[in-house]
Amino acid sequence: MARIRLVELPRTNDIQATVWVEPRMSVDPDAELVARIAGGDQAAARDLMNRHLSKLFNLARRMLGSKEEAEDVTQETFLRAWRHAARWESGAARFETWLHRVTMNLCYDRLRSRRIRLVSSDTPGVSEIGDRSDGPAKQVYKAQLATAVQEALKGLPDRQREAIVCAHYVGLSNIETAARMEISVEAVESLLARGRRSLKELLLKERDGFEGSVDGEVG
Amino acid sequence: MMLMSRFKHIADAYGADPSRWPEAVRGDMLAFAGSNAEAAAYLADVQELDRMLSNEADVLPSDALLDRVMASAPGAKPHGAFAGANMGGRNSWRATAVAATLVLSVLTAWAVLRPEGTVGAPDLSDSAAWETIGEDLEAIARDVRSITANLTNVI
Repeated sequence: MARIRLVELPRTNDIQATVWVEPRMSVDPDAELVARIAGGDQAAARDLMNRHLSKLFNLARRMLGSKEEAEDVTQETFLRAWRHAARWESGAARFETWLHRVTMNLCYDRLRSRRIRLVSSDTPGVSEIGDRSDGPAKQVYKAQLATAVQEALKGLPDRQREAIVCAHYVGLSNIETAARMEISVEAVESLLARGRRSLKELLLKERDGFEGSVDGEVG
Repeated sequence: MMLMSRFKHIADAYGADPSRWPEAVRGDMLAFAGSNAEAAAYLADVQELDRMLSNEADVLPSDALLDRVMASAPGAKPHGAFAGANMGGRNSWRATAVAATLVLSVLTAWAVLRPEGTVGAPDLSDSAAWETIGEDLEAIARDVRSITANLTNVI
């Protein structure tokens, strides 16, 4: 198992500020931007937003299954980032890790507060998913499949979903995922394996259902 | 040496894409898949789920979100009289509430404390009127100090 250590960061309102940090953390690529933001530099704020917003938004969207809620969470994350910039001390953890943690905590706050079956209200339209080179039938197929994946993700236990979103969609390594989830690499592997197994069962069933309704154009 | 059980465990967790496998076992995994037909078939099966998951692509955030985030950034120019409220400026609302309360207090105090029978503005050419105004202003100042102290405790 990779060696990781626990570092206590300054507390920020209701945010759990304890993160697992890899011992070989290189220089924080956001450190300079954060320092400039602390000095009121709007251009630095824009650069930081351009660098991280899309990733954090999609992280929240997949965790919450709602585009609108993901936008609220992303906005709140950056609001806290602006406020926190002056107090940020580079060295303990990367700012990106802090942003990820804040986003994830806000997602969990929301998940805890609803605890009801999520109902999709923001299924991406065909235009958001399908490749323009695809024929109409294939675009429909891809849209259906994407919706099925979103629904299947929503149905997973929160921690399994978090592991899959981190590892598969955010592209974190096993060690990074373990660090951000504050669990061991073995625990990450277990969550991933169980999550993927559930997804596979659900998706194959779903796919068999709508594949038959699409003509032979799908390949 | 890689065992089939270990190979399946890694593939089940991380999928069929070698770039997602833990660095420490990547070489062994590739060698095993290249030399074992069952392992290769297992990977092909796992790849099916990878393909389905990858079909759920990233969605572009809306321009409205980008605008809202930048509107709250340090150095952003506020738009409109109440822009501070949109920036999460709870203190701005408090300041506004305090100011409004103080104005109301002054008006109320003047209405309550002015001499009985006084209607409308006092006659400023009358020295007695100036004395009355002085007393009224002192009373108002006491009121304002008291209200401000109370508000400070509340805030």
